[in-house]
Amino acid sequence: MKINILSSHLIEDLEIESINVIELDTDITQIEEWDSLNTLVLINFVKANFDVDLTVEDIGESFKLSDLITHVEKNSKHKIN
Amino acid sequence: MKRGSVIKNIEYVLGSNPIENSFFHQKFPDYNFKRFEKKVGIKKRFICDENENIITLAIKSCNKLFEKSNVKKDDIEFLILCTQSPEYLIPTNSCIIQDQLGLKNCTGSFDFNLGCSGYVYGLSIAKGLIESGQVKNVLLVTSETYSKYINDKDLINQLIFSDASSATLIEMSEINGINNFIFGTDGSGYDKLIVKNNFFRKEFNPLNKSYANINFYNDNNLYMDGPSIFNFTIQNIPKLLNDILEKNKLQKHEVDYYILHQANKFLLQSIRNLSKISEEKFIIDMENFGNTVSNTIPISLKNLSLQFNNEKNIILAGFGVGLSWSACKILINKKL
Repeated sequence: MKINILSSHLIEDLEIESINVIELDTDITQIEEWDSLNTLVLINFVKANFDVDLTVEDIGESFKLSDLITHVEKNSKHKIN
Repeated sequence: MKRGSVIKNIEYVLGSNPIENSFFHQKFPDYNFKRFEKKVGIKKRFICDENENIITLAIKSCNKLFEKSNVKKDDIEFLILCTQSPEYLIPTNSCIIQDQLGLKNCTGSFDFNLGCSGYVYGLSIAKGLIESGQVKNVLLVTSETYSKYINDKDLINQLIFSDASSATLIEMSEINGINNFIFGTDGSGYDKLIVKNNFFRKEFNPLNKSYANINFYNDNNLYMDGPSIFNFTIQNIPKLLNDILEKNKLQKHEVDYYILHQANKFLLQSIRNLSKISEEKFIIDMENFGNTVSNTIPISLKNLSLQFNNEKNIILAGFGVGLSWSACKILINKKL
């Protein structure tokens, strides 16, 4: 999957209005409208698209798009570039 | 005669105060309630008033069952109460319900402490009592007032949880209406949904703590780590749904409906997608009730059954606090 497609799909799922693009170094958890519901959406996004489990501990206090890509590539055969 | 058991009737009641999402707008002006409604799927919940508790709700749901069915109070042989918000630690709450309902003194009764998996566990206990020849019927009651545990600054839990009670009559039958079960427990997640300070564990600390910006709680309040519960659920429940089919020697196409604990719409849709179950077979029924803990399955089953004209194979699955889960297959052939 291409990074820009991943980014746009994630924004669509999160339904966040304050940003148009999530860059590699965007800390997803620091987006203005972030709440616990977004965490569920993020976990579900990774499970549904890549069949990879993402835990609250994996997300932690800071979780960038690059962290998401590393996590997916480490736990599946998916390549994101 | 073959000794099976069936669900004969279900009735339920909700807390007296209907509260719509707009009630919270003024107190939490920055929160995106439209997004909550769309994702979580709850518009309204029912909260008990100060005179209501799990016993008064249980009395109402049981009396409704006696009024609407042809079962008589004197016929009841066993009463089981599932609750996590007991009015009394001592005595057993179901003893008070037995007395206030006017059930006979030879009625067996006890409480058990389970949350969202409790209804399915209750069905298994009832099946065991009936099919082992101990009694001919069981009145299974679920009753919860989680609202009493929730901090009034905890928006999300106030939006999600609702108070209710259900009464289910399970009877001996030639029909095998309650089939095989699967149970599961993972106590390592005990602190993911918890009221920390109940039962005199430690000195009460009245200071509020916060999590996820808009959720406040102290040690006497309900704390829910929603993302961790979500994680546990999507990792375990799709497999549970496959395993329960196998345990009952059923193919997917032979199942008419799946009724899972109605935690929230987003979680249920995630499970449905992962399990590849069609939308029309997968019940989502919480928009106007919220999450009523152990009551969600009997409420959804009752509502769904009103359209039944013939036999339906139904998979039930409960999961949550504990962490605890359970599933079973039932056969329903009438409006409950």
